[in-house]
Amino acid sequence: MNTMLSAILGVLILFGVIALQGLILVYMERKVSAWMQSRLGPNRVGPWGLLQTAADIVKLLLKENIRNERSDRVIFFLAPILAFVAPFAAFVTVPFAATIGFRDLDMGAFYVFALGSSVVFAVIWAGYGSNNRYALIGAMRSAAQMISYEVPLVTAVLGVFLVAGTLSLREIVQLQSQGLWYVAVQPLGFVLFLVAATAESNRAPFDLPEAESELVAGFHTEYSGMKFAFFYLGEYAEMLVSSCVLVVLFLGGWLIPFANNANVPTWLHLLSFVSKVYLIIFLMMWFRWTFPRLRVDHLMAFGWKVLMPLALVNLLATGLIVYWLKS
Amino acid sequence: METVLQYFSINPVFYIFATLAVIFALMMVTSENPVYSAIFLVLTFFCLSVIYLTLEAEFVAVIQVLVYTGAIMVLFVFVIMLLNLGRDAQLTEYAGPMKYLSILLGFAILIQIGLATKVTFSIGAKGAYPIERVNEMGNTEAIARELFSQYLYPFEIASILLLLGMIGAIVISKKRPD
Repeated sequence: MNTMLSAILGVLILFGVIALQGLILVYMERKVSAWMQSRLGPNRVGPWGLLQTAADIVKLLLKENIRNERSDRVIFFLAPILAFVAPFAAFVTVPFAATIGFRDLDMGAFYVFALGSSVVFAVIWAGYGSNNRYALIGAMRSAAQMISYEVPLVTAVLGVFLVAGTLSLREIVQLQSQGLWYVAVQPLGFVLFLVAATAESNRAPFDLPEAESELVAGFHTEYSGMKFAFFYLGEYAEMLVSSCVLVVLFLGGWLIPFANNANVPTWLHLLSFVSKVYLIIFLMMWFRWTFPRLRVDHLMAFGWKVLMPLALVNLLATGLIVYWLKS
Repeated sequence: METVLQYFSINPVFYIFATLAVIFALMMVTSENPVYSAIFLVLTFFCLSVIYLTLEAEFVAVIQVLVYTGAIMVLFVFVIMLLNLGRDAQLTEYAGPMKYLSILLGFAILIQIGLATKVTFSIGAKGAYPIERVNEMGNTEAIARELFSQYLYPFEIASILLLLGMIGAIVISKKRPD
């Protein structure tokens, strides 16, 4: 019963942390975008506009929950929940520091990808349940995008697994403490993963699901209030998960660069992990304000004709080199 | 009733999710809306994956979700929506007397499976990979060792079959009726 209690407590803490991260990330996104466009950004609510996102949440909570009369009640209700729960559950296997983390699964990385692939259902259900043509077509578009980018995403990571010889995220970090970080061993894999992860979490320049100006948004056109907030939170949770996995697989997880990591207190490791994750998230935000949005056919062509062959070449080369080094 | 509770207390997770899996499977077959059928099938797969987890077969559980729900079912739902089979399109097909034959056959298969598990497997017996050894070497490694040594040819044949399927799909979609 004790393990049960600690598990529930852990989940509650995790939920709180992620919800808080959502608030911080929205604020950070606005400030970064303002900075890149020479604006001030939010600066009215609270000191430096820090409470702006809290105010936004209150606004979303108070909004009327509109449901299309002929929409599918059950599916319409379940979709935003799944959109948040799936990336949330993926945190179970992420090792935050040497001793902090829920459970190290034998195939932790695959577990994360499996949950990431279930987010597609949330998108499809949202589009179908809304009973709205725009939402349905938007859902099909987003689902096609997410399926297409999942393939290069997983293929890009296979190189790391070949080098490491394990799928456990904790062991991968420990292996990196003995030598180079895998970003140096697998530079192409790193770039491919970063691009594919950006597309997978529907961020700009791959944010067709949110192209409200030209494509009437997408699967969440009919959503309002708290349900919409859940999609929003889910997107940020997904972004956090992919950044965490990226840091673990390529950037040495909790390890501190150029230091002896044996006798470092845990909070420093945690700090190192969090700052690396935020660095990657900053990079993703930088993408957003640098590249224009892709057209849908370009998006698919880029995924299948550029990322996919590169990922396969990377996998083949890594396999050959690992085989050659071992024999 | 007491025996039911007894079984339940041994492994509650299994009984909860096994019951759910059967319920979802029945709802998948009986629901008239194909989109609902697909959703219930996805839920069935999730329940199965939890059952694999209780058996400490983590790799199979994760692959179940990754391949069946994440890839195959997404494509199913995609096709259902592309063909616009939603809501109004009710797939009622007249089966006729074949229906009774199929019920009979279903029961025959059920009895066969029951007999097979009773006769050939003795549950709890230890093979080459008992749970201690699998836990020690890891799920993934245990499966990989078997798959890429003893079962290499079946594995390769299966991959060639999948490749053929992919090529076939490309050829069919490229052919334009002119």
